[in-house]
Amino acid sequence: MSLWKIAWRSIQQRGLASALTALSMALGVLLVVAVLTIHGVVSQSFKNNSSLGYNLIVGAKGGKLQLTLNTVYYLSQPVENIPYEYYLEFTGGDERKQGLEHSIRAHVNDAQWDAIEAASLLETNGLAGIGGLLASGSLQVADVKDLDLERRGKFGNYTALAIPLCLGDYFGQFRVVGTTPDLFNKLTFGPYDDKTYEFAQGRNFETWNEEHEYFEAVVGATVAREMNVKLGQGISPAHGDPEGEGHERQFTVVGILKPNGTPNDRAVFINMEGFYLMEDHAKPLPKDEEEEQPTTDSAETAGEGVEPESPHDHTDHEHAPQEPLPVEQREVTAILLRTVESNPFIAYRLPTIINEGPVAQCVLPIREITNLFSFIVAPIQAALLGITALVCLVSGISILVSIYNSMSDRKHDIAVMRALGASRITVMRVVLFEAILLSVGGGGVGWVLAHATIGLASPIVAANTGVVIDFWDLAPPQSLMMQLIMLFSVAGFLIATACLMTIVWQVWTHTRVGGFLLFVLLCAVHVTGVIAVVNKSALMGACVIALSAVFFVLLILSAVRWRDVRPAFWCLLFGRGIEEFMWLSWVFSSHLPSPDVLISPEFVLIPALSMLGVAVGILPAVAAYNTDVAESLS
Amino acid sequence: MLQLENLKKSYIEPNGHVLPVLDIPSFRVEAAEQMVLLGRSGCGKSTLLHVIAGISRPDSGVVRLDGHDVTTLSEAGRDRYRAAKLGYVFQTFNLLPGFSALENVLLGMTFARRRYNVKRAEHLLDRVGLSQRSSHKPAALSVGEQQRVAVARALANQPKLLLADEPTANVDPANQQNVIDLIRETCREEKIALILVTHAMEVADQFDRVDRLEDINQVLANVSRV
Repeated sequence: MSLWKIAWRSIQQRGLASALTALSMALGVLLVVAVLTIHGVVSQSFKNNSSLGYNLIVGAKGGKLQLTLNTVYYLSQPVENIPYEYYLEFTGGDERKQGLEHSIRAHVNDAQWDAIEAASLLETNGLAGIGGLLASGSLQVADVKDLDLERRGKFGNYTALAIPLCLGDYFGQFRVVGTTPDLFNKLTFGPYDDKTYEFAQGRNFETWNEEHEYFEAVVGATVAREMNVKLGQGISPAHGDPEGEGHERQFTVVGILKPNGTPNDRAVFINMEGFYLMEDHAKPLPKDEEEEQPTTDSAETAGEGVEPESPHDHTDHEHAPQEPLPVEQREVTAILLRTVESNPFIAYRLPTIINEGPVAQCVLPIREITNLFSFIVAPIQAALLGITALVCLVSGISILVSIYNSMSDRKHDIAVMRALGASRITVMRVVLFEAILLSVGGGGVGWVLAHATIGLASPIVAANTGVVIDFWDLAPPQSLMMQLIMLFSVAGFLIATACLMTIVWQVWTHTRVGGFLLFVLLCAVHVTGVIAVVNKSALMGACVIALSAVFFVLLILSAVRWRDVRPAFWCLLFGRGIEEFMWLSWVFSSHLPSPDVLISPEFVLIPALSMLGVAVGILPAVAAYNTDVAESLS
Repeated sequence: MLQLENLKKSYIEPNGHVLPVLDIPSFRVEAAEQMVLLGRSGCGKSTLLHVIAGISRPDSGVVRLDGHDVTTLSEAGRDRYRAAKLGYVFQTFNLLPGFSALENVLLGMTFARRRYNVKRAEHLLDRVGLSQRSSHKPAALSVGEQQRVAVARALANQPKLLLADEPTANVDPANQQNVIDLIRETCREEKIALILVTHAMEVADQFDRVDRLEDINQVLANVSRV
């Protein structure tokens, strides 16, 4: 019969107490795994969302974090807008020319200052109100002359991809994003930037087609599920906020995205051209503003991509076909930029150039997200991990108390085993194994419970964060080397501390004065150690060394004099040895040329629990070691 | 086979006085010999058994079993000696309550650094008439059955010497003779020497060799003379 089985029988014998202590360990591990998984989900979510295939965001001047949160996560209040023409500066020659096609100035240019002819021509083209403007003479020749249709955008050479976003409307609680089909056609995402957007149903929206003209929409997976959106359904964005007034204009849903774990699951995407043609979305021209001033609708809210009604927007939607809004009346909330890869310095240089200009600001979203993560999210998670580690420690102590309390009942059984030929070390191992079984068994149950909970909570997590986690998904891998160093350092410390307390207790049973002296010395070593570190005091450091030396000599003397102090003394040397070795590993790990392996911390959990079992089992194990057979048998 | 020479053992009382317990100039038991040690309570029987078993160390003297002096062995050596060469039947059986009858017998083999032999354990349980009850825990066995399990456990490692410390003291009268018969028969079959400690004359009368502890222990002889 193996010693493990003997330990297991002993656990069975005290079924209820064992089950309760294992349960406390299970709860501790459940918490640790839950926190590690939440950490994983949050990190994964951040990683997914911070690699959306673009590296810069251009938006109106203001808070960098707000621009990032607003653009990447569709959180926070929308920021101010920037002119559409600024967006065109990021496009190539053809795109810019095409974009400016509907510019009033371009038409004016074409019209060669023939006011009446231009007015009638433009009216029929649907460029509402241009004729009036031209007639009023608010446009001058000078405006048109610098409009060089043939040149590339100012930043066009640096831009691999520029996607405009227009924010401000809602569909239910979800954001409506006016953009171009490029968002799904050209952007990639995921930690390795290798995933493309896929459609569960339907297709991407198009800029214009016969059937729906400019008014096609695509919805994210979460929106489709929660709002019960079907393909072909017409949806009307609400103006300004979730409870805002609904636009008359309906967009036809032509595609539903597959869940992709990005905030795009939780948004509605409409064709930008259609977005501009909705009532209230045209930026008033200077002339109009003057006219509208006294009667401006108070619906305009700061920072929204929607503007007060313009007299030119009273286009009857039933009257088809419509022409795109002139460039002068357009604005975008943000531009997602992917800079050219041929010159990596562009990504660092471009923000400076843009930020020095008067129009817009440019942010690196990854930097903002990393800052947010490291300043706010990471410390909270570290604190949570600390708390759960303490819970595990408390569970460990409860195992210690449980086994130690049973020792007086078990003295007789231990003596019988000794009489049958078991050595002191053997009975010590049986008790240690018992502590390990309780820690690891309880921990295993906790692990299964944690993953079962994660499996059950998976749909809720996926719905809220877009991150899909299964029962078998482990916490994200971390450096094995660092984990082992941390694990063994903590274990060595715990074992050494447990041994120290055991020795102090053993000495106390022989001589009260000696035990008290050792305890005071132990406290003094630690207190002076803390003072030495805090004050960086060499004197205090010397005191620590001197006190430690006295303490150690007393330990050796005790171990020489009293036999029952010896096992704990050897365990102490073992624990301290591990600790010191790990300190050295820590110091020299950066110099070691070993290729490091990444492994989930959950794999380190079992050895960690075994170490905890060893640490908490030392005191009762030493008691088993010291059992007096002759006395206990009689 | 077993030889004690000039064996002395004393305890130090809380007031510092030295209390001599054993002083045995000479004592021998031959291989496969069966003998009874008679003695009243508190006369040092258990101390003598502990010294023979290597649980306690004598102050001086020699305990030689199979030619090896037990007193010169380290504690770990004495543990191995106890596991390999001695069987011990206790007055209170001392079965471990969490283990089944079979496991209690296997437990005896576990510490002898041998591969435990389930077949031998089952054979021994069969020999003591408990083959049908091998999976029962001690609490589910009668007192007589418990003592029979204890006998099987003591024989598990094929010891050279079996020490039986008042094995019938807690057994009901109807079963006492059965236990004695069982111990004697199994020791005879396995060629194991037996030292049976008792104060029951009806038990002692069945043995060819009966030694009174008062006769071999000089401490008690001196007290008697006083």
